[in-house]
Amino acid sequence: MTGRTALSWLGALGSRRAIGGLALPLGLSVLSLTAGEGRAVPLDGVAARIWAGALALALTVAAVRAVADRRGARALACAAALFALAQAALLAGNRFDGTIELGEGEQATAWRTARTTLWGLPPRVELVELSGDGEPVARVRVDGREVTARIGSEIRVSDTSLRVGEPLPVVGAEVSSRTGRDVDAVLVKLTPGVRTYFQVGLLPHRFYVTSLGRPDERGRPERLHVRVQRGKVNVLERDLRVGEQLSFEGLILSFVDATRWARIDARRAPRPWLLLPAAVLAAASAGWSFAVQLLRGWTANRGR
Amino acid sequence: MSILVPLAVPMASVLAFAMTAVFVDGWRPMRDVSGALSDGEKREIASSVATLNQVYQDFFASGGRPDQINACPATASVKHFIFRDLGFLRNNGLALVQDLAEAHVVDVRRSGADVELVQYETWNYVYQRLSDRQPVSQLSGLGQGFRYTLRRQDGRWTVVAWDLDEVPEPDGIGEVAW
Repeated sequence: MTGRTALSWLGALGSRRAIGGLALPLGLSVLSLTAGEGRAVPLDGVAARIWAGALALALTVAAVRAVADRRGARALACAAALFALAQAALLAGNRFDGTIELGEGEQATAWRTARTTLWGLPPRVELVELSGDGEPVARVRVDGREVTARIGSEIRVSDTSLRVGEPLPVVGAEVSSRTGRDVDAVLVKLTPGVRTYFQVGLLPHRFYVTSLGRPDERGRPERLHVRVQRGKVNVLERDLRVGEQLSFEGLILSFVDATRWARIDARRAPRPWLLLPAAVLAAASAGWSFAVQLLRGWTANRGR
Repeated sequence: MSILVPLAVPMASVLAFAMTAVFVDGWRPMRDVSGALSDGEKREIASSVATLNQVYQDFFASGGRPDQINACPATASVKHFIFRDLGFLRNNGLALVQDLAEAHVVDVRRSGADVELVQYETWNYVYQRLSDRQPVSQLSGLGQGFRYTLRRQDGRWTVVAWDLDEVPEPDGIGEVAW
């Protein structure tokens, strides 16, 4: 390919037809989001990245040509479109949406649910303290910055939005042998009325627990309904209180006081800072074009 | 014809974009997201669960012989969970003979990328001394709902997890006509 041919192709890339042709599929992809999850084109996928990259190149070529041809309005419009495209790429590629369950003093490690895009990373979240007296607030550390959040209300820390749910009870579950040898212990996060299960060490048992009644002011559950399941067999099922013990198959299960936990919903999305210069450049382009039209009209009238 | 020429570039771009999204990104706009399974798929899924329970009974009846481990349509973690149970019994000098008396499929449905089968099962079981296989407990029975989660792996439906499910006892189960 000769240099002239290459320049010719590059020039064609910066044409209105090429820009429109590259922008159309991306615009349709954004519209496809309304079709719901599962049918929308992935905006952080390979196709979107290739077309966005080609569109950015086309807009850059068009802007350079416009500057060379002294067409200021067109150059400003292309620059505005480039900023808007960069903002869209940031929004599509740098998002995180997740839920985590943290006890007091616990740092986020495994997110319960997490949806992330191309280079979206989860925030570093630590639940420092849940206040039980007076105003229901939580102290949370987000990416190293400590903030106080009202329970149930959304707060924003930089580009991360957080909502801390209602404090719920945590109990410690300890299993030991009848000879007193400890098997293992785990912390069990409870939601009143909802059955959950946990496993301890290498035991084949599943321990199903339901917190019944109202927790007291310290978060201790009123009573626990416990079912010890091994495979298909229901080994034992009964109610007990925190501090009581349960004997089964040569082992002893006991629940001890622990702390409280809360569900935290976190969303991270870049702020649309780049839309500001895009808007300013678009307005400047419109103003420039308007001014040029006015000047032409005035010049034409003077010529008569 | 003159109308098509200006539309050719954007139409070609949209087509190329869609093809790239389908073949590279795995976009499937026409895929069924409603969760419906065909009758044939449901039968296959129920058959996998039935095979799992058959092999499960054999594992326990034999005291943990792994002869049928490859026939067990379950993931390594599920098999490991079963063998932990067998190991616990063996360490206590026991074997557990379990017999699946009845299984009533209640529902088979999609759950995201997996499928779930819910059924009510009635089991009979007795503990035996491992050394001489003499019973050390009364023959007992249980009725319980179970929810199996399966995924398509290597051409068959494979159980990836199971859990309890609150299923009412179906009518007519174990009925005797007097």
